[in-house]
Amino acid sequence: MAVEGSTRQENVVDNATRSGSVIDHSKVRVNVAQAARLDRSSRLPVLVGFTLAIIWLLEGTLLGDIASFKFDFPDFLGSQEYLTFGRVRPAHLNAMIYGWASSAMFAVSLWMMPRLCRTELRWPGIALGGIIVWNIGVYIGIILLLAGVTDGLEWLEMDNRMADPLLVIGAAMVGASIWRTLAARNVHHLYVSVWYVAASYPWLAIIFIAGNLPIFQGVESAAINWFYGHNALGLWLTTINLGLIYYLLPKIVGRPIYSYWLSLIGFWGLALFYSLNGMHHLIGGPMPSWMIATSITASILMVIPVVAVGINQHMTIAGRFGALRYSPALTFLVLAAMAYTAVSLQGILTALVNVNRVTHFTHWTIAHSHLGVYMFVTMSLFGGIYYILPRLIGREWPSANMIRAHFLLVGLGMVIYVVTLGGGGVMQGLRMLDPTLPFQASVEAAKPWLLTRSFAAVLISIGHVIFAAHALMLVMRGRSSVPEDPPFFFVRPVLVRNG
Amino acid sequence: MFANSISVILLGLIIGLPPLLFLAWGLRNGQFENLDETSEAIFEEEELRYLRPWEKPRQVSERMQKYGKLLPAQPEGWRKWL
Repeated sequence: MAVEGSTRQENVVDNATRSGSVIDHSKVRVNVAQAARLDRSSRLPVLVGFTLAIIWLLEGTLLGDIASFKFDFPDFLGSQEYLTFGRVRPAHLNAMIYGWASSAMFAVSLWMMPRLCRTELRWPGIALGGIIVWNIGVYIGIILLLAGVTDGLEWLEMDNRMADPLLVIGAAMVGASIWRTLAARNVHHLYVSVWYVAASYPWLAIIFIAGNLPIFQGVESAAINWFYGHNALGLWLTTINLGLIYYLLPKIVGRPIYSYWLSLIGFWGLALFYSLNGMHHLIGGPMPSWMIATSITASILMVIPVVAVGINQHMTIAGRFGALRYSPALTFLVLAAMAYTAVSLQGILTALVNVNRVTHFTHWTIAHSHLGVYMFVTMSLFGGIYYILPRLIGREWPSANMIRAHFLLVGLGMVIYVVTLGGGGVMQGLRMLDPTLPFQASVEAAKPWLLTRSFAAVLISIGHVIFAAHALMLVMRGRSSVPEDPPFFFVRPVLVRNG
Repeated sequence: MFANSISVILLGLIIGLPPLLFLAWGLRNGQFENLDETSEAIFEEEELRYLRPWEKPRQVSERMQKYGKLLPAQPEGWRKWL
């Protein structure tokens, strides 16, 4: 019955779309069975993407912990050259950005696009191949990093002959599947998440290739490096995750986004203003003054899309925060949405010359990047995985306690991390600016905060181990626990107990 | 100075111009019309008609006004949308 109904419904959508009408698509909806069929079309690449991402999460966490403890105990694991700070730290960064976040984002976008376009995923085999090729590239790049082979550019450390070409090919293959699915869509209007996801892939290709071209030198190389570094955050990590939040937040809360118009302002503001932001990392450097001024101006202009997104997401959940008690996915996503607003406003603040004078070359920057890449990006991906994985596997998450422990450990850990390292960074910067103090004073000022950061890193690491173990338990769980059809997913309160 | 700037200018244009073209395409193609309907397109059949246990009476009545009588549903039928 459901299948027959779904076929009739799709034909209605197909015909309306082909005739170019502005059909009211909200009146022609897919049902649960059809959504499950769309999910099945992307099941394999999405599961492989999530699996590889979680493996990278554990590996990147271990590398990050080692790097963090080296600040507190400089001789820690210092006898092996491949475990020295200069190698472990970029290996941690690349494992988290390209291994964990990007692999999970491939999976998330491959899961969302069929649902949003109301058609099965096209070229799933190519998408799967792309994820594998990308991950092989990341493994080669990180092994080479630990062996001492690096390009020496921030966020672009992986070898541009052995590793980077594989990353470009892998992302292009996944992107081809995404765009082919978009081209075969059965809807006329593109929901805002489609704009975000579809735009992310060509943007990633452009900035990654440009950033890795070995033709830039000196000042130009620095400018291109930060053109890439900042845009990797804003036009890749941010865009996929905002697309995910715009899709899942209204669905879980059970009401449309507060203002669809604001969501479009958020997207187009980002698309048109963001790309020149990166050079604010070079304030005070030997850069053409127009470049710095333009970058600061573009950074301040970002207030428009950031506030638009922040207001929109807040007003969507406003009055319905009780929903957080029922959905762990929503809890992570709301925290991620709040972090997006916070990190964006902090970034705009940091772009101001007077603030940058204090915070430049300090641990403030590390706190800022973790607020963005962890509190926003990683929390959003956790939310996505909590929502998507049970739908693909057909089983419920086994343990409410493990979800609760995961959330509390990573949430608390990251708050401690950002607050202490941000505050410590300011104190470090103020001492560096004081000409009466030796440089050692800035080091001493940062030491207690770095130790606290390591403590926070341990909390976060335990949270990651629990999350990975829980995902494994979900996969290994017996068939007997398959929920009734249609399935429902984890609903017990996370932070607040029922009634 | 300009010699050091041209790559950044070119890349800024390469990133920034296609969105302008897509924006123009979207305007011509009616992508920014019927915004309310587009915002509801992500919901599955009946998804907006289930009672949510966290909603206040006012929110429930707003939903009823907009989407018609809410589904009494099977026990905890709303859970499948979480």
